[in-house]
Amino acid sequence: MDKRLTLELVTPEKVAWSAGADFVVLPALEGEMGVLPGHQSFLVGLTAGEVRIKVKDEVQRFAVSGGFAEVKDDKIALFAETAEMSDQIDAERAKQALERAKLASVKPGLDPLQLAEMEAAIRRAQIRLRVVRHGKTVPPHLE
Amino acid sequence: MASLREIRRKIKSVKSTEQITKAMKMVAAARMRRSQLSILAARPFAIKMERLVRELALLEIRAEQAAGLPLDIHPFFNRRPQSGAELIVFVTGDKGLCGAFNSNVLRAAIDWFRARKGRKSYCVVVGRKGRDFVHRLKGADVEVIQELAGVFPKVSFAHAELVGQAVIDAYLDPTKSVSKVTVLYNEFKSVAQQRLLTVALLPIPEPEVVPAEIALPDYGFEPGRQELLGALLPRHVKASLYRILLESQAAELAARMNAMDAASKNAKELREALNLDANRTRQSFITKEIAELVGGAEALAN
Repeated sequence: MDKRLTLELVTPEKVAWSAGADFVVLPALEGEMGVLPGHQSFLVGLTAGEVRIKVKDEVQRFAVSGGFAEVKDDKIALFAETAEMSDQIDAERAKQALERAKLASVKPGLDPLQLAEMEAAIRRAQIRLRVVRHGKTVPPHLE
Repeated sequence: MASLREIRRKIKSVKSTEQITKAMKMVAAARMRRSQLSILAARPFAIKMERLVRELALLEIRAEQAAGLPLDIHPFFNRRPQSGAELIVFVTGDKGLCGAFNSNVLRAAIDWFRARKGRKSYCVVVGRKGRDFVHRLKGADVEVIQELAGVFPKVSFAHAELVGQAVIDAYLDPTKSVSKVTVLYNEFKSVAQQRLLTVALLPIPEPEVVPAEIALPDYGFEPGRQELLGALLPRHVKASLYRILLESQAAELAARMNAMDAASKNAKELREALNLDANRTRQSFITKEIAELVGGAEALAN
């Protein structure tokens, strides 16, 4: 397999990651979507989730908070509001945020909008934790 | 002539002012460099986003033309009746001591409000100076939708999101019937030059229709094209606002750097003039003493 993907993960503030990749998994709105070289041109909306980038036998994980991905001629442009690499995430803080959000979400008298916000916060924290927990240590055959 | 002691005291005060302005200049210069880097870092996202929005809009136009439907891509593109209310976003700094940076924006804002006298307008204001200004504002029919102060010099996308959401909500609110959104800010043209800019944020100008021969990229979409465009456009607006905030931030720091540089130069000039004065006073005092001494000696010799 000589064809490879090039992936650029951009946030409004910076280019978070730009490199070649062999296989990329995106958190699409309707479930995870894997992209291999030679993929059809595609524009897809992303939900808050985990992006996995496989380079040879290493997997790089990012927690993203929704956005888009454009797949075209083996180039992937990922637009996300925020993107955090696994080693940039503070596990302790994410855990605390999760606890806080869980407590806040069971408080009585929340209107639906606030509730939705709390749920989004819980989801964000869970994704962060998942990304941290896996880090780079997962062997490739478990991917 | 002032006494020597008075002049020396003045020199001391000018000197400490000079030190302060010099320090402020250094701080502004360092922050400006960082802020320039964030402008550069924000560019790839904005450029890609712009291209994507354009392509999607063109695809949408084509599809609608093919289906014989009236052109209606998205509310953000549609031109609205000119009679509606207008919304202005103006971006100032949080602090003064930066030359005409803030007053330029505020003067333009006054003109803007004056030109729309008797009509309802809405405004979103960024920066403490601008906020204080709208609080003082009287006589215009202006409703402040959102104010944001104390964000500089550490603007992040979250701030742009806040402003952008307020603008979008107001634009889509039928009770407000906003027909146009304008942004007033200082552009960072170069270190020595900031330029006041008035740009239209909404509605977004429709992309020029390209002839049918030119192939547009053929995408698969998930979810549908319209949903994607609908989700993409608010982000596009927010990214534009983010760029504007960054530009204004860099421009403010550049303006402050220049103002403080000029102030340091003036202080230096003043200090040198005062030094000369002090030396002259001291010398004339010595000369006088010598003359008296000589006069006294001569009187004794006689």
